[in-house]
Amino acid sequence: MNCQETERLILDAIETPLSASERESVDEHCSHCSACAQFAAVQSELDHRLRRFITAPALTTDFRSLLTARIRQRPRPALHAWSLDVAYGTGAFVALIVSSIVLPFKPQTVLTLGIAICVAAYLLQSFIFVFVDEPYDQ
Amino acid sequence: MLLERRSAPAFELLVERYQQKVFRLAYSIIGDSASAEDVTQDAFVKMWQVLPEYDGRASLSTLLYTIARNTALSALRAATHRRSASLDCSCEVPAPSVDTVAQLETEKLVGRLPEAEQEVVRLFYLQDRNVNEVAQMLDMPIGTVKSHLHRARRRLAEWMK
Repeated sequence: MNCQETERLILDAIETPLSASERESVDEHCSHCSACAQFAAVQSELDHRLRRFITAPALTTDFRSLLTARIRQRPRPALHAWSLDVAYGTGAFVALIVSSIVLPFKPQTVLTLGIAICVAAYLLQSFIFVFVDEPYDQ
Repeated sequence: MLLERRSAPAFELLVERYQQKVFRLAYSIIGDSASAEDVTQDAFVKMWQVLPEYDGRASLSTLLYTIARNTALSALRAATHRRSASLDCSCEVPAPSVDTVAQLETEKLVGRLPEAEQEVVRLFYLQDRNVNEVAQMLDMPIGTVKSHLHRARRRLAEWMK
């Protein structure tokens, strides 16, 4: 076994225990190769230090209760599916009333025409949303 | 059951099973227990939120680890940004003990490694030296984890000489 193979086995040994024959080969090689023996010693020291100093702290005792509380807080939806319809209807209603008062035509004519335009616009909008996604309610 | 109804008891089981692992993953990236705990909380809350859209293509643990990792990396970036903005801190630091010096030296050496190797080395020791677990948590092939570990060990050994 050459030095390269020995070093690989020394590194492997930290992750998975070597077989008896592999262990024997490494020991045999290291007995006459000071470079590999030193490599094994440094790796062993390094493993010892890393094991000692890289340790996981524990989660605090209120971790679960805080998490449960956060999960129970359901986020309010930014906008309901019907919100735009309500806004559209309210706007149209106000516009119709104002138009019937302000415009120099008969209020009945203005209301009839206005309602017709609003219904047409609403239908057009619904037709468009058949092809594209509405931007609310996930 | 967890997927269909986003069942709270099933989610509790998921938390029970993975909280330590997610915490260690976050800690291996951030290196600060308080921030790692915040990240763990955030990761589980996000997991709960994305469950209705989960299509089952990846395993739940893979999804959870991915969320945790991304959340930790964002938190780390934010912390680095904050730290660089407040470098003029003149806090008093107590004199370190011999053990603390050795720990700081080790931390310093690990901190010199490339980011991917640091993460693998830390997680390897936090996960009781279980390569398979590390590979799953980082969504990496086992061979990649091993080569990161080997390269890192060779570098660290060189620096320790």
